[in-house]
Amino acid sequence: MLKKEQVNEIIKIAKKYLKGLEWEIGIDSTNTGTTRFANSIIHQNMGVHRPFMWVRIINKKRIGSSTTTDLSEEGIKNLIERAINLSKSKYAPKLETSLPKKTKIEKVSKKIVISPKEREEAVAKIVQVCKKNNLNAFGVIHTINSSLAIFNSNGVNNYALLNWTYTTITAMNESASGFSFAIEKDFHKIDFKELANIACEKALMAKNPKDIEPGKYTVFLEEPAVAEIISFLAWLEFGAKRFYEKTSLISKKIGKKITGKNVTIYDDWTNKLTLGIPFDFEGVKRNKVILIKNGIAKGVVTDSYFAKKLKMKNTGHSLMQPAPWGPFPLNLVFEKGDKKKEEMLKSIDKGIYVTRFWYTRVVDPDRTLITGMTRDGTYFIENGKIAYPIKNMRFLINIYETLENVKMISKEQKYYGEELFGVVAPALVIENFNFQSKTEY
Amino acid sequence: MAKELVNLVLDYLKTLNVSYGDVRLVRIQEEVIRQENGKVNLIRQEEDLGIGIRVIKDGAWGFAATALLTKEEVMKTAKLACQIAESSAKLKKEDVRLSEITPVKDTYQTPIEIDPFSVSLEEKINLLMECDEIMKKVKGLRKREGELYFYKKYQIFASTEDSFIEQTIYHTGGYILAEAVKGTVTGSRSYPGMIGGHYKAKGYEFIKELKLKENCERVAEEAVALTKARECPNMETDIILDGTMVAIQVHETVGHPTELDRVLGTEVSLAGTSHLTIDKLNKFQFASEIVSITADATIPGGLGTFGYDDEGVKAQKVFLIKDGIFCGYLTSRETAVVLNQTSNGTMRADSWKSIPLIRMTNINLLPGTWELEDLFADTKEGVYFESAGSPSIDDKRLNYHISSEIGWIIKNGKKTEMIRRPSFSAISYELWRKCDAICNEKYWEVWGVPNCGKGDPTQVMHVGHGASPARFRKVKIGG
Repeated sequence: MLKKEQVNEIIKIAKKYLKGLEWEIGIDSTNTGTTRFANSIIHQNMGVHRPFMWVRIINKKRIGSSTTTDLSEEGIKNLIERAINLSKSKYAPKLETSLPKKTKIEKVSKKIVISPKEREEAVAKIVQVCKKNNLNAFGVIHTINSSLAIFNSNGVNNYALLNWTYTTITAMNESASGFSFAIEKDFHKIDFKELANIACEKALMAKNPKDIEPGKYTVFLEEPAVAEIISFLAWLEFGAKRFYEKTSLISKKIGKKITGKNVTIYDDWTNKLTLGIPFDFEGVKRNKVILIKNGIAKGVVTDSYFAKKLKMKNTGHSLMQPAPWGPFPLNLVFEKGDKKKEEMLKSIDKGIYVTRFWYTRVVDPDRTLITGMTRDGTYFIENGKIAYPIKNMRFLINIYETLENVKMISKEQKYYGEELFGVVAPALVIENFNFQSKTEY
Repeated sequence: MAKELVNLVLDYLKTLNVSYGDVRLVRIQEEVIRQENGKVNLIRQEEDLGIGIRVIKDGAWGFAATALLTKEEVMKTAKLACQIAESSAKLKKEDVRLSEITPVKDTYQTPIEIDPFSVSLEEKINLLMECDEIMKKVKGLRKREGELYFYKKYQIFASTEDSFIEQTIYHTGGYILAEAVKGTVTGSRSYPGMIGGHYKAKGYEFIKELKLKENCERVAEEAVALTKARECPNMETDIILDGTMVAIQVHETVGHPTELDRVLGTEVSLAGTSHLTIDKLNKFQFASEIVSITADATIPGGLGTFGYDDEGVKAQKVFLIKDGIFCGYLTSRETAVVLNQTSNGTMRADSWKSIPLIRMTNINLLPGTWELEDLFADTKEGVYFESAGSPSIDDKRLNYHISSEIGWIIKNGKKTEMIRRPSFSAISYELWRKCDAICNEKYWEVWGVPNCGKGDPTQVMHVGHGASPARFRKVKIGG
């Protein structure tokens, strides 16, 4: 990560080569510590410092863009020269709106640096719990310090410094596995022993899984499974590009019912569970955007280009420009419900309990049809209790139809995702969830 | 300067009591140009430069990397790699052992005719625009798209065992896509038909070989026709897969499960494990007898073709499946020890900032004997799947699902009605056991997959798959 003063120094150097031009510069600098463990030993252990800088030059309304990891003066000069050359092409993309106006937004978290020793000690705790349960420990601890700065020639001057830890644990023996995870801004708030206990409990319950036939079942989906479904809905439905092209279903349903009444989804970087950067990659302040409220389609997120095209407000959801795939909501929240998870489980006579999904892919974007597999803790529910483990299943669902069938929503929510994109998700009980086929374990 | 820096690190590592160390200095240049509906919406040139240092100290691994290429910074990074290894060692069960290697001093470069970075932007964009003009003439399209991608990697690999290897790798490729909408139905068609395009270890000459312009009209017309096509019926029938579908099937059901690191559990937390456990080696009937599959890092043009892997092991060809029997793994120096073998050279990292992992090279289904027209003629009822869509598979690589952009009902030996996005699911080895015909070398192509994900943090690797169309009997298709 780079301190604000270091960023200012880089901008000062860059400005020497940017005279007379409109420009935008982004600097993302990340220090990552990664400790991976498998078979109860540390097998991959890393420390990486990666600064990354991009520039967007506007030269007579034509855009040239380029990126580098070389932040020496020569590297910066080369970066800018490349972008200027690209902007001179008669075919270079046109800037169809102006660069965002002056903003000065800062969010500086206290830097938390985690040493390899601290990660090793955390892994040792996990291994100890797994050993007690005669299970092997697998997983990862990523500790990240990251700074993001966006500047432009109109006076955008935004800087954020973030820390977070992402950890997963898979406890496993030959026939069964169980999963737990945590994403926290402060490494020290993670109870690694407790997380390991959760993974072990799931693995022990998963021994000797039974075969059940594919079909439609009531499901209890834990938060990671819900987050996975909603993240695919985001790619297909919540950005302005497919809305503008009228290919998303939401583009035809604004103001109309699109899911069950109990579903509310919005994007909100201020939610305390998200990692939350207050500005987007053009430097525009992020706004809270309601996407679905009480089952009614409400809107999508925009960036400066699509806001102009759609004559909508710029909501501050640009990705790194040029972004031909359009804007994207990075901080999704599925509104919590009023049920305890125990109550939800008790309500199911017969059904399937899903810990998480794996390798989910879009089968048909027209129908929001997706498929994927269950993984690391799938059980059959009988009379409101987990009765026995079952072999993993392939689901094939239409997301909107699935969100018509949500019967219960938990009070508790968890943040699940990757890097800066995640979903704050509750657990759900859903009826008529379609499992298309099964596997052998 | 680059060589000096690498040697400086190696000399420094020797003073830090490492039992092994390697250094990779990597510079990757990429250029991507994309047009949509006659407007260029992306031209970007990217440069990624840095150094990665991997050590074994106290019998355990440590890795550190930086993009700041000053003497002070790289020495600091080398020291960090050692500190990290010392930390890893606290939880080791035994010392890391590496299989033997003969140190090498060598250079390798992808053979190219035209350096893609020397071709003018104008020429590249003109090609995309000409494609757009042709597609534009077909009525009913909502979106016309085209993209070209160029990649160049210069790397120095050097180790404390006295290997010093310089490699320059080029990859080139692209695609065109047409999309039509009718009501709520989208017809989407691309060329050359592999998800995300087709790529080869070649220079700009590959863009000419691709014949993008020649395929624009057909692709556009098929996109429109797809909006009127019915969905794939649910049934059990014979299927013929085109080369792209076979390539993805090889990737997901053979490439990944034969990675020995997965088998040994080191990817459990993300990518998963494999049903192809060591007890099945040389015993398990994975496929029908006509199926043989190799890992071959030496074939011209493959995205998994190189001189040496990222441990300095020379590129090789090995069998993974021979006459239907599972007989080999993709290995590294560390994992090969488990099998009392030496590495078959598959360790690659996607960048200086990543550690090398076992990655597919070019995983190839060897060609059979059939002419494609004879294969259709020999199929009474079935479906032809053309242009691979997104696959999905469980974390032991058994339950496999895939769709294609377009399908054709086969009746009495002939392609008849067009169908939209056909799909099928099957248990991977059961599917391969149903393979009863593979087309000959005339139809064999080394398809490039530029986006294979593995590792945590995820690394994106360029890999290749030689494949020709093949038939599989009695497969359940549809939703």
